[in-house]
Amino acid sequence: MPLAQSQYLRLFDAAGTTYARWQSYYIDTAVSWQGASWQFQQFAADGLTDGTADDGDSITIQAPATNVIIEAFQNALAAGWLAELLIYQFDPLINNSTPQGGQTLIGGYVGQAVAAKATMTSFALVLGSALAPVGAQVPPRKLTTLLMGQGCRL
Amino acid sequence: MTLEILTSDPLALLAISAGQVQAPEAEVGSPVGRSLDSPQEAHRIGDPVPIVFARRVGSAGGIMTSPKATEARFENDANNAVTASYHLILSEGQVDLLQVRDVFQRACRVGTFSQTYNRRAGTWDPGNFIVQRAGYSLPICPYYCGTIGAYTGMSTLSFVSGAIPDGFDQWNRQVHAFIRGGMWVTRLEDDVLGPSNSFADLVLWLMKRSARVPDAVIDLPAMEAADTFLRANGLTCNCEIRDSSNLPELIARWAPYFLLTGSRSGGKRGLRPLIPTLANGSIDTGAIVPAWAFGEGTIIPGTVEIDYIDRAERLPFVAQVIWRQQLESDYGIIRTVEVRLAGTAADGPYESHDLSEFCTSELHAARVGAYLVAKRVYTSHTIRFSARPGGHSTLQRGQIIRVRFNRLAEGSIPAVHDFLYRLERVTKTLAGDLSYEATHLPIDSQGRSLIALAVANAQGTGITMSSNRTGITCDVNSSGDTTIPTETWTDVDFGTVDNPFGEIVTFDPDYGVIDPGLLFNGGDGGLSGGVPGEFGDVSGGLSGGVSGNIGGGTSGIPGDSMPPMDYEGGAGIGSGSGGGTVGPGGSIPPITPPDDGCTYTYKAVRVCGSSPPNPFYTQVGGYNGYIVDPSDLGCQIRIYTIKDCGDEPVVSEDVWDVKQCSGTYSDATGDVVVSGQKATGGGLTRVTTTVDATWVDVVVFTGGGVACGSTYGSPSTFVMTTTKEIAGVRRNVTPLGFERCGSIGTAAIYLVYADGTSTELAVVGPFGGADVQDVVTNASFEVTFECLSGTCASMDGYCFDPSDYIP
Repeated sequence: MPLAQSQYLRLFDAAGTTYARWQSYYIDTAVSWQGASWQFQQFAADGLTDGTADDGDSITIQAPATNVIIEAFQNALAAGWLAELLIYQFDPLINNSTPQGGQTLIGGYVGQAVAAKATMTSFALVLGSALAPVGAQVPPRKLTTLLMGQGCRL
Repeated sequence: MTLEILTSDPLALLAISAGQVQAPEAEVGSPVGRSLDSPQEAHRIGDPVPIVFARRVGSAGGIMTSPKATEARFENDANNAVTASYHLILSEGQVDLLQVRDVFQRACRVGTFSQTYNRRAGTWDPGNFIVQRAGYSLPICPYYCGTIGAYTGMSTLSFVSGAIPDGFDQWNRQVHAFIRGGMWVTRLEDDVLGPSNSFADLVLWLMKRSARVPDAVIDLPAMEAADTFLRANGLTCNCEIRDSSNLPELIARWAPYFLLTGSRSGGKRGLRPLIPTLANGSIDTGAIVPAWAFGEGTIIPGTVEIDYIDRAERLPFVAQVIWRQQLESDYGIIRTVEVRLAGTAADGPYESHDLSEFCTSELHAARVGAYLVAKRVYTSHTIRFSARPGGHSTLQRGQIIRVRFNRLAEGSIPAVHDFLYRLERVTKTLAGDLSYEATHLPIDSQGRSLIALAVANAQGTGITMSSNRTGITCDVNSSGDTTIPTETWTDVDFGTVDNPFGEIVTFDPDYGVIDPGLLFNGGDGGLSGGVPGEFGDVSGGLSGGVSGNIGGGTSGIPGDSMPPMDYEGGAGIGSGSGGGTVGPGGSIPPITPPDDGCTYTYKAVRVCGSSPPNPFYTQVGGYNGYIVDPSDLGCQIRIYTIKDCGDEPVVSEDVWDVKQCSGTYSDATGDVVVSGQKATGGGLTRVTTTVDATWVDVVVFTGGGVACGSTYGSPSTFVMTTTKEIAGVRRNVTPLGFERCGSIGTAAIYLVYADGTSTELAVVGPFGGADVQDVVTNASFEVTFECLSGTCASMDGYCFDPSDYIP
């Protein structure tokens, strides 16, 4: 039984506003899935890793450097948008033109746009986590003059 | 082999441990180890705000802290008795109120105190008010006593010693406080804001407040499952964090001692138990049922790799686990639990694991020790292999799998490899193949996990010790006094100066999740004035604050991706040529920079109420415009234009207020009735004019402003009805308008664009009306009716500002 995989990518901000819904399997058509319309957009994500906290730090979304992609990815990086990547598996012999209701979610990833690379023809957006070792200080606050005054010397 | 876990607190060490109050290693910072009778310590600028995370439940938990002082006061009476007052920081956030019996100076319950939150405790003024008393020596008290601070978002304590007689200096000793309920967090257990002893609650709070991880990237179900596991197995956390580290390091260091590990599932961060568990969080001591069984049919040939753990790393040893027996309203006692596999390691080797920072339960310590020993001794190897996609493609880390295959060698009987494994890493490649890495899960003949059995069966001795306190009591306050003193505090008034020390307020624990890329509000320039802003880019923020340039206006430049700071000392932010009022669905027009050889950078920032400004757009060379979202209502969209011609960049700001049209408007003048809803602050002026010879008695309304049209589900509508037989409608005002359709007896309403193209909006017939959906900005338009049939004596037309109509 042959199996096919389709990828869905959603760009949104921390408040939940969605800026783009793309799918890369059903060429040149928009499909409906989970109550939303997903436009066709060429892109490809590298593998997903489910592991320890140090694993799967990032995945990369590769796409052709079209105006739509450039603007979206640049905005995502500037504003720190989030991205959700979903990978579904299904039997294309059953239906290969629209998403199947029984298709299996085999992988998902939610990350923040943390880096990007581009060439003349391609644009890659790196999705990762904001849990940077340097920035995530514990305790998070430091005492300042405003908080504690000048301090005493005992 | 039968696994028997022996836990003991050797009698030979009892005397030593009872009196052993050694200071731990600096990086451990166990509060139990601090000296009781030492001078009071003081905070320094730059110290971390300590976190006290604790919750006493039954006879375990809580923590004795030694808070540091920030202000002091010293005075002496006529008999030269010195009274010392100290202002101390208890913890980040709000903690439970202290009882009288819970506050000590040295080892004695003395003095009076008052506790509060989010402000400065006590009403006394700091300072040295010691005076020379005749016949007495001048007491030597500190001279630098500090000044009053704001203490925003932290719990504070004001302590006043009793009058210490002349000749004694106990007034300068360290104050200690036993905290039963530490920093309040919203607990995963019950969604209640209050103290907690769950490591999962602590990590969740730190992820949001310290690492600023968006909620979408937090694996909340995993965190809830981890919390359930901790509570079901008595693995509690009662700690004080006062030394700086970072969150990944804290998780890596502490999580295994809660039998947890950090996890990334689908990019989301969470915690997962290290041993098999049931849904209710209890340890799964039943037969393990693997989620999937792999064999020759699913494993891709040539991908299997098996690594056996070195023998040296599997030798039996003694796990010596150090924990803290936290007495109620008293100092904790360092205790030890030794865990070994029965019949092994009688003389060591010993491996010491210090959990005294956070572990206040012997059972917790015993279970950790059992896990460490069993995991090390019984786990023999790890495996890696790849498989083609199939039904196992949904497997996740932490699940149990079975791998069984035969090794067929010619001339030899088949060797079977058949083990259970716990998945540690699952990689799903773009090609569809899945790669698995798993650790051997040792089981007994009944299929039960040996490690889970070891942990579940681990029990402490149940021996508790007393405080071993002897001698005449020095307590003035009763050890049974559970009253809570009245809260007193000092309100700090910095007047109209929002930034009195020239500082930037960097954090407010009540603020919630802060988005990355914060906006710096430098104020009106210089060190004072303006609104304390958040720190975005460090260099930009500091330079802008000190020079006052970026803060020349009422707001600063978005912190991240800031342009070079070579425009310090410039004129600050000026007003742009745009801006105004726009409604949801209306559009902020694009900006095309002039071709003058300068570089133009555009930034858009959304400012809503008291929330931190949210930069959401940056582009060099032009601004593409923005369609206002309904969620922007009540906010400002600020467009910054940074013009860089090689000298000092010049910054200008366009401010767009997003408003909702409201009110109603109706006008029944002549034969055409227009009704809709009127904008607040908008206005219509009706004038009568003649457009041209074709149009007679055209009545128009004019008005400026910005439309509130919307395409987001709430169409911009206005209704025109007429009792006249009309032939058409016309709009003759650019850039948007209606064009006469020319059809007798009907009127077509067109929307005409600046480039000459048009869209038909509606067609109305005699006595008819039209609802027109429109998206217009900064425009006014008129609708006129041309009567072609001759039955009309006059025509009325209306020119009205669509901003007056509800979108």
